[in-house]
Amino acid sequence: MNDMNQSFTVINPKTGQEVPLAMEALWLTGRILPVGARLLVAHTFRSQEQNPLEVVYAFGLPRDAALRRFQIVGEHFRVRSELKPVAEAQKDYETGISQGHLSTLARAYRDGRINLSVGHIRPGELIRVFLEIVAGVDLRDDGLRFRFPFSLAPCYHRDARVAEVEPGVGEMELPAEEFGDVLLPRYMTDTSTLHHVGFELALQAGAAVTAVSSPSHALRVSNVNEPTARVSLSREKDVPNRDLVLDVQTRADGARTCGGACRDGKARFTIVVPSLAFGPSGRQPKSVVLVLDRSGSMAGVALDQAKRAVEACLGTLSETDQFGLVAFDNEVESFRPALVGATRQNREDAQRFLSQVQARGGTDLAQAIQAAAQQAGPARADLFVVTDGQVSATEDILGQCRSAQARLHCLGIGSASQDRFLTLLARETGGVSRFLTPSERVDLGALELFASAGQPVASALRVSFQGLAGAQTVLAPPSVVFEGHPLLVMAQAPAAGPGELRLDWGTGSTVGQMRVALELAAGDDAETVRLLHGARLITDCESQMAGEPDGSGMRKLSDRSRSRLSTKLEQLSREYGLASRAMALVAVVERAGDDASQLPTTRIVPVGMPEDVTFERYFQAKPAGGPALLAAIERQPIIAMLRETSVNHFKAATRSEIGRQTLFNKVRAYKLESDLPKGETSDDKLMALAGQLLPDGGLPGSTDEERLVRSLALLLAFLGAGHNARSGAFRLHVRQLVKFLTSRPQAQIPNEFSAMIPVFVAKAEAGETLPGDLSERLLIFLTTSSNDSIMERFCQEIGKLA
Amino acid sequence: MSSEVQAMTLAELAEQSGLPGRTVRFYIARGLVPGPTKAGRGARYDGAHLERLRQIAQWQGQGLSLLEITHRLAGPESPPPTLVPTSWWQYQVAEDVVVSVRGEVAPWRLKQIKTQIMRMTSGLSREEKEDTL
Repeated sequence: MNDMNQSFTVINPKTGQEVPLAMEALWLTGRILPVGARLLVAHTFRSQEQNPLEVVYAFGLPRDAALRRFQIVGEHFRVRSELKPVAEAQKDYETGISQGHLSTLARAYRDGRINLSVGHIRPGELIRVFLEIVAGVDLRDDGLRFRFPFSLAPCYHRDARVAEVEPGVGEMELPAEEFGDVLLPRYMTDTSTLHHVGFELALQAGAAVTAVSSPSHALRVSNVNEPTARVSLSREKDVPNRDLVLDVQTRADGARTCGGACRDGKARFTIVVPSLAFGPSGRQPKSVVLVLDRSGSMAGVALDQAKRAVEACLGTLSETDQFGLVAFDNEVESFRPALVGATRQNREDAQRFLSQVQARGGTDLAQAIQAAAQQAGPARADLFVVTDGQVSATEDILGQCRSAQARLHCLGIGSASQDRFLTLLARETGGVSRFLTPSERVDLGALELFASAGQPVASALRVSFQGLAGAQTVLAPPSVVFEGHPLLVMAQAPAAGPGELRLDWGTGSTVGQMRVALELAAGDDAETVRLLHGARLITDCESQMAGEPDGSGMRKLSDRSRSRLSTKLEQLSREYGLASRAMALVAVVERAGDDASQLPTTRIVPVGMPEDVTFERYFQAKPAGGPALLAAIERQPIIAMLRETSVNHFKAATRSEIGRQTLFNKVRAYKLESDLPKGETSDDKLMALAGQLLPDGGLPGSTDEERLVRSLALLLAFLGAGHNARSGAFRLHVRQLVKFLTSRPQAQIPNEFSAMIPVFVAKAEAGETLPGDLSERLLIFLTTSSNDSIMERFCQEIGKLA
Repeated sequence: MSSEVQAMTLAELAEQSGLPGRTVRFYIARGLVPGPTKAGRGARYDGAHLERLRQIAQWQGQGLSLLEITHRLAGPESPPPTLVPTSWWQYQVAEDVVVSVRGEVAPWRLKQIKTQIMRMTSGLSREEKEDTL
């Protein structure tokens, strides 16, 4: 916590003036366990103004998270928060403010947004608020991904009011009748004048940690081989323009149990069972709908990669599979009105459809999912949604998706994507989710999700306990387990002791069972596990709560079910001692010399625009014509080009709204493409080739021989790049290639190959790989060679391997 | 409600307007609502404050952002902060009707507007047909 003691001064680089910051720093500390995290976030406020301040900091909760309590610390005091029903807490806060006392309120709104309000900070006064949060993590077979929001992404809502208040500074307001009095921060493209952020976390990942990395921040990691590793920001400080993402890899070693006896004598525990323990998945015909977010916030590399990924996903389908394709922004466009067979013709048509998809407009997710579910008809289809999830009123969307009767798998993209919402969306419809930051490849991530989610390793799962009297699950475990996504069982028992977790799954001939021995004793983690259970229950309950049943009197409580949910939420809050939308945290500190006569000046702490989100998409009015337009776009090289071709064409293009959109998309696309590295990487080539696989599993070619050679070459290229039939993002493609190569009649296989194919097929199936440089050479061979004497040249390449 | 409103505390103003106190303070800090009529310990607010809060809520309901409301409150006399041309799109919804829409609107707002224009277009053409029948 030493970091908290240093004082910061922020200088505006443009003016050289010191910037008065209402909030100076946000420092994240705490512990990450194998099943969740217990965090302490320190907010430092200091008033450098003449008047007393009321400062509002708005942030988003991580997944499955809840606020536990806070402590407010000043020069002569240290006071803890109280948990009270929202209306009461708000009244305490308002009364405190009106009397000049130091008042603090932490209140949750829709979409997991929190407003932390701290009022009557005196000129020159230093105030710290230490806020305790419990949060879930993204579990994987081989570890976990932890995510904490340092920024808040602007989110699409049809009735949101947006404005660019100054150049590069955006403001968003949500309608009070739906969202209550929630205040959102200003979004700044220039992050140099913002508060500082940083973190120092302890890592208790249970199984031995093998690697800790972050796609978002530079890390300093110490004590890796000890029970508690420490992870901190390697720089002194950072800016709030993206989420913190930590990847923790552990040695996969069967089921992990966390928890034990709590202070009240009851046992609370969580068991994580890796999906690998359930055995391999069987291949069944698939019905899938790929749902692609083409909203403006996806513009550029993200959408290009997402499109390629969709093509590659289609490449894993056989003729017996059926698929649909939906692209959406605030309008929904479907490839076909219903699912179609994954024939070569249909897939080629789908590629043409994809090539015309351009980024634009808002994000109307619910509409797209309903359209996708409708395409699937009565059959329960798997929907794969690739989106940044930057939407508001997520509870409404969840409600609509629950009733759509489809299983949703979500790939979230973005430096501040709505982790919490997309997790709920996948979980509540029986699917799985994955999240990527802008520095990661969207296409590989999508393929990975597609490969794991399409094929459950266990379904009709039943959970029971043996030996632990009265043990039961805290919430219903999922009935389906997917490859790569471990099973999470949250449970409690009247007392600790030895016992057994029993898992039985499947029906008919595909049944399986597993027994996990439980050894529960008193432990430090038991209390944290209890809180994590509570946070999860509260998150699930809140996700059903549309509208804002707030105490401000702005919306009359008329809906009976909403009031029932409020009551349930209040009970959960009281039981677990956690804040929710029904209960808020409040503290009022009476200081000597509190002056009721001065009205504090209210300030909202601004945040950085998430680094991968285009500011203009949300806030900037498009220059629509006249001199401003020409001045703005003349800087873009494409305009020079357009001018050469036809000035009239340009004028015509700007005359209609559609033309203007197209032109701007072109301009933006041009800029982004030029930002891309020139050369294609091996992953790019593999992705493109994967998209070419025909429904029988092989690559196309003009003769049978050519098809065979090219397919074998691609199999070897996958093996060389570390993908085989068991693991790697391209595992479904490897399986398809194996199917193709082994299904050829022996007579059709040239002599040179009849011995070679079984060797490499066996390698692929055994999970082995080949040297990487072979992959590089074969990719060049596959992407450049003509059909002339293809066999000889392939054998030459293979010869180099021997 | 009578326009003769007694002097109020901020809490009373908040209650009367149906807005939380924090929102009222936020509007005052942003210059949307004037400060109290009487400063110091007995800070008081009156009917003009209440009227202003209602006006803001009404404009918000029409889709105006706080920034636009600030400009509107500054009155027509005050020059815009910077002199930039504004552009308007004309949609001819019927032979004899033209609707102007400001060029710089957010995409989702444009969608709302377009829906209304479509409705208007079809409404007008339907009436036309009914007339000729």
